[in-house]
Amino acid sequence: MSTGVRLLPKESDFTAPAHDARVTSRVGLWLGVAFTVCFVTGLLSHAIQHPPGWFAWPTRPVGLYRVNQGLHVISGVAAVPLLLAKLWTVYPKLFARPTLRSVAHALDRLSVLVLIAAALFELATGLLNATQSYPWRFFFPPVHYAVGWLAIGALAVHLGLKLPIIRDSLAAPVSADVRPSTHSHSRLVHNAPGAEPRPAGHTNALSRRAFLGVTGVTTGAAVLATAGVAVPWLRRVSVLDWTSGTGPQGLPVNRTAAAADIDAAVPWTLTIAWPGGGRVLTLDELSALPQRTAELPIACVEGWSASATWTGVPVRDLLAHAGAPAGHAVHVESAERGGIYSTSTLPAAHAADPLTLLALRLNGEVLNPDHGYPARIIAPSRPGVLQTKWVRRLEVLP
Amino acid sequence: VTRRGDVNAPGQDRPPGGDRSASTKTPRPDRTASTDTPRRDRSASDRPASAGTPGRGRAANANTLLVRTALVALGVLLAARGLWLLKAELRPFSNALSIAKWLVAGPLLHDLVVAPAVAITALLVTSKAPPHWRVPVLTGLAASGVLALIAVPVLLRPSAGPPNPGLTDHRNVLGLVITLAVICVIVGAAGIAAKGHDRAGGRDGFLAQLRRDRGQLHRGRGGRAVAGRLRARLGGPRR
Repeated sequence: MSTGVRLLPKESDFTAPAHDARVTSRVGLWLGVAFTVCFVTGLLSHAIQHPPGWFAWPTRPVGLYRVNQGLHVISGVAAVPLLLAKLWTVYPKLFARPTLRSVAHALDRLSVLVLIAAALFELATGLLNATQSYPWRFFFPPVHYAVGWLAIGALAVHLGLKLPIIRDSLAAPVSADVRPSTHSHSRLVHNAPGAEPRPAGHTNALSRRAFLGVTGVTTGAAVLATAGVAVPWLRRVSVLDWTSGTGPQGLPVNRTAAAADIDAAVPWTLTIAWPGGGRVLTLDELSALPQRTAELPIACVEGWSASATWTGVPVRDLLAHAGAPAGHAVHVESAERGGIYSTSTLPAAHAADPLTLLALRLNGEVLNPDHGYPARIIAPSRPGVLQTKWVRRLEVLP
Repeated sequence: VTRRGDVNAPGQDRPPGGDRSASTKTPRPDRTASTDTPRRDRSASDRPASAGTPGRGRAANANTLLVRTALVALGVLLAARGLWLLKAELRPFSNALSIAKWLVAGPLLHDLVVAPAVAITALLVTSKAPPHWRVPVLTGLAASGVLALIAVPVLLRPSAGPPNPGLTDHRNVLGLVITLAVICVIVGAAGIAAKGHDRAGGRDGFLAQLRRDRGQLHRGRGGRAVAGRLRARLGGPRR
């Protein structure tokens, strides 16, 4: 080691076997899978909430959205240890000198910076949002969505730039004593026969295989510790589950009546409107209609989900009873004042589904005010945020 | 310098007989190339097929270039869409500032805090811990660190929204404490098992042994060897 105190390490100071393209590309492969699952499920969730004209989301199986969001959150959690492991394998490159060798090299490093910034942004904000913390000024959903595109774009650029080294390093056995060049991005270089063994420091470090093992074990632990949020039978194992899974009438609440400023003193009626007509029903009239009971999950965009038994009037029967036309989308309005989630639109497929209920009861009891008393929408395979509570108006769209 | 219990670089050349790595003792079919063939030959066999006939190589290179160009172009388009979507969220200025802060914080925190902490911890463990403790301790530390990191928002709940029954009333401190305790116990058990095995005359590391057992199962030699080894590990004298 040279004399004097160096503030920054040199690339060559990192002698552990894990700093090797074969490890990077293997961890990268797993991370790529996690990111892709996370991105696709995120896109689907976004499209369900802001459907473009060509988009349709099925109503069956009833738990489809639950699976989608569970995958989104679990793949995001899995990406945390994978990303950290991958960054560790290439950390020495941060200290490679010269910092910028050419325009191409500068663009390469820029794309990596964008990728890391966007990826860490998505994982950090996603995890915080899932636990309902918002230590920022911006509105989370559109920003998380936009940076998701940025991340997947930077990932595609990164794959394109590194393709030869990825291909070569994936083809090379992990244990063999060949090293991909730290400077050339094109080929693995092989230690010359009889070359001096690597510095003594590295013999104590984890082998490449062991590093991959540690990464796998850690990722598994992170997934197990949190997956109970979305997978009920894992709840007992998932020690970091940030939901208790219970609440009034055995179901968590994501917006209380108090937070929604619901005034229980205002007499309640349900208005059903359609182009050229309308009808008003009282709670007694609604309760007198034929009821249907169904076991349906409520699945939040934030990943948690829980099943419950709901009883109410199927929306399509209610519309037929009122004399409204069938086969259209239905706009749902809450008694909640303000709030961006005070309304929702049931697509035609969901409005026509016999399991889409205007629910009056939950797990055998009259709805708790926090669950939307007197009436709320519960539909199969829909984001929880669109299962509008305290419903006071249904409008059949043209 | 070969240390006892070294689990590193199984493919490295070692003096005959003194080699403790599983791969050389019981070469597995997929690894024979890396252990038995001289280095010079390996460099050719490890190369992808594109290095074969020149004509085919050129075609493969052209294909690769096409795929790479397509990936980069696609990536630029996707990222541009992200930036375009982000543009709509930049007002008021405080929003833009907040987004910028959160984008910059990740790489800075990682490069200046997380990675150096990992480096120092790993250096301490690999230089101070006895060989058979290294893998268990590093695995335990990695798992504990990641779980603690994931637990931060759950435990601290910075700038939380309004309270929500069943969702935000669950600060699972006990859960994290139990997890970390369980990890400690597993690390301790794995370390002691590896050490005990060493004392009983075993020459391979715990992981190498497991790998060899797996190899025997793969080759259809049944579970007898594995059962014998388990018996030995559970206390009986070795053979």
